[in-house]
Amino acid sequence: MKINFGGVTENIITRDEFPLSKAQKILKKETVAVLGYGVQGPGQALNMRDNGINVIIGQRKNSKSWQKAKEDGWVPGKTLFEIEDAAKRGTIIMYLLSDAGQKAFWPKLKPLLKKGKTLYFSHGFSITYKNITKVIPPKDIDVVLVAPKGSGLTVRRNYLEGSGINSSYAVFQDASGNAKEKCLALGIAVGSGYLFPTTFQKEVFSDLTGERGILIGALEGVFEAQYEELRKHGHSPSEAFNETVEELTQSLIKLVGEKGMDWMFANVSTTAQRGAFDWKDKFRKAVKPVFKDLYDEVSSGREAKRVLKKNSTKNYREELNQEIEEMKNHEMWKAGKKVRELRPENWRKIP
Amino acid sequence: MKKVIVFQDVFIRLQGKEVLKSINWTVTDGQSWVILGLNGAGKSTLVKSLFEDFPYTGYKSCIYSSNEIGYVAFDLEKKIHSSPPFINIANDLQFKKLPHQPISNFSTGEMKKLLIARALAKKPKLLILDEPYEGLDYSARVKLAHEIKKLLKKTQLILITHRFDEIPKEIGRILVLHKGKVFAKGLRESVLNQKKVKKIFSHEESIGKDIVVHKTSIKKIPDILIQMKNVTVRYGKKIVLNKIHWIMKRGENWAIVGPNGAGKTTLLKLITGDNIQAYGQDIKIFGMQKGSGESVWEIKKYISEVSGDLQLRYQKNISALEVVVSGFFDSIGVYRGSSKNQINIAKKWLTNFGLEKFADRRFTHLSQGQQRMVIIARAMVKSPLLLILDEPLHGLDVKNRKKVLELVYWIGKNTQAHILYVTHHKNEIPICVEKILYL
Repeated sequence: MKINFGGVTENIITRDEFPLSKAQKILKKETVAVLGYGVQGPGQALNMRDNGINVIIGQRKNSKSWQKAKEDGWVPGKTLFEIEDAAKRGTIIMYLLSDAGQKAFWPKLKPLLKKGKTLYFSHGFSITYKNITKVIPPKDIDVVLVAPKGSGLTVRRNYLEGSGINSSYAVFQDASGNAKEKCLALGIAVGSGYLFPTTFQKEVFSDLTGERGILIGALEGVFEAQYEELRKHGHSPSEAFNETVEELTQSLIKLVGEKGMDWMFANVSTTAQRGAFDWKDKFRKAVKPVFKDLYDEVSSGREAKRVLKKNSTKNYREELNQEIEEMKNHEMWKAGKKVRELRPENWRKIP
Repeated sequence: MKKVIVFQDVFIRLQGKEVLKSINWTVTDGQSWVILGLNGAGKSTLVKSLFEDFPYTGYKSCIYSSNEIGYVAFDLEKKIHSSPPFINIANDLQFKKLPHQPISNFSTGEMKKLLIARALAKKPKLLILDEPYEGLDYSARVKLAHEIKKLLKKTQLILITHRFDEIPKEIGRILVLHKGKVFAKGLRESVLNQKKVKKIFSHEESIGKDIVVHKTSIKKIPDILIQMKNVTVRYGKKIVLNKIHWIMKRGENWAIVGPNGAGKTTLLKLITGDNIQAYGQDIKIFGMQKGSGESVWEIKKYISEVSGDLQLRYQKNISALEVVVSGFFDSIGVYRGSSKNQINIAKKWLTNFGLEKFADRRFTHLSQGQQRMVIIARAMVKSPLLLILDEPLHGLDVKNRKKVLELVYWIGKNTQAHILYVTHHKNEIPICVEKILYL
């Protein structure tokens, strides 16, 4: 279905155009091996099984996730195996380990990827940064991607309600000539409501940029900057927090989600309106160089290299915990905890 | 006498609708009351207004704070599900014999017991029980009745119930609400014997006149609808179902009976596909071996379901009409285009249940009993091969109970639907249900 997104036409595929029955037909003879039963794994695996697809799980034996898989109705020796074992049995390998986990397990997986098999990712990281990860698939297999735009829990919950999740899809390598059909079939089978096209590279560049930028990194950065400025001028923690975070999360951002930022600009007070219009460009100008830098780092692969290297240093866990602890103890988030407790719905006592 | 609760000309408006009108009611020290009324009369709102910040006009007071009030109600369950501090409280109070386990593994009855234990553990000065017996098995009901009798000596009680036989002898006073107003109040016998009170609870048979039956798409109904061989469901150390063998044949209607925690709901969920431990077991549903390439939607297509769990899953921003329409798609909410015909059928069912004026109202703004009737309407829009009724009368007033029972009987007799009925009230098993599975 061609959809016009503000002047640019994109070709998306809905589950009405690509019904489940079609996906079932395409995947009829396949055994889908889901490697990794963490967060994304269960969501996608359970949905596929409920959609009538032949699914097996690969997971380290006697781990916590192995136990969870058993309670989810996967049977050891029948539908639940050690990772290598599942990879051997599967014709479609869903590689859903963490980015670092994928790099580590790759030497064991590669020899099992016999001709005709399909390798599936939900993130473009390993393939895009193959120079660093060494994840270079054999030429005679299909390599595809379906990236649901939500956590594994949402993927599952939406499915159970009969709704769906939006996902992007991409084909990296088409050895069989049917990679796209297979990819879309898998996308529908894991519970997508609609799929929009991307490439491995674009998926990972936008993903890494987004989480470093507005979604998490930049957001915290501007929170801190505004909060600290208000505090410097003698505003109380509760006032600074309310004007920085609370009003955004409790009111404005929900309205942006429902009606868009254009609506927000049209509907705030006249004072706010004028100010927001005039200041947004200043902010854009100020952060533009940072975003440019960010995208350069991501697209050059330097960011991935840096992250993987950092991830594998000896005291990484401890250092990370310290960083998390520091943020937790930042006055802003301590104030935030109190502000949250003060929300009327949290102090109303249910007898 | 000290006044404990006072309402003087109180009006309460919720979501723009007047729910309670000109309430005058005084409870003095030591008095216990039973509140009666049809679904949507305002009973739960009245007791909740003792501790919730509802906007009101008039004069209202209660000398007890939230800490001194013990409270049990159906919709507390979802608060405990979703509110972490409560999970801790609930776990602290867990019956000692139960292993530590997530609350989501609790059965309906176990959950109810937990809520009651939680309320009693506070040693409250005022105990408010909003349909406490619903969901409890017979022996638990007897135990609770006994407990209430003991409590009445030292605690004031307000009891909301729809079952007149559940009114303890010891409670002398009755308040009847009708359409948001005090309809009658005073001493037990004098209230119950009033003609006008009897009249609002009396019921006229009406079902069967204008029911539309829709054919399902199944071509040939298999000889065996459901077959379970050696089926076991367990969570950690907790075994919920142990080596169950059961066959349900074409033409049979079954009741599933057993104490709280026996696994009744779990068994039903293995059939509907909502319990994923069905995979890897020897289960055949409508001739399809579970896990042989069928999708859950292919199974759900032939099933209509009524359960408390389903009702709780709809606690979101959706209209009553949409809830009913979603029955066509077996989804929790409407995610596919619905036809005019489907919407008309859904409206018709709301009308059958006298709920047409609530069609566009938000589901969560309806009373528990009204919500339940909407869930039943959702189950009725398609003519299923299997009608699963898991304590369907939970929360319904006497008129609605009779209405639903007549409906179930009518469906059992006149349609191709096979009935699976779970209840703790043996006298409520419809006569078309001849077979009983004891768990």
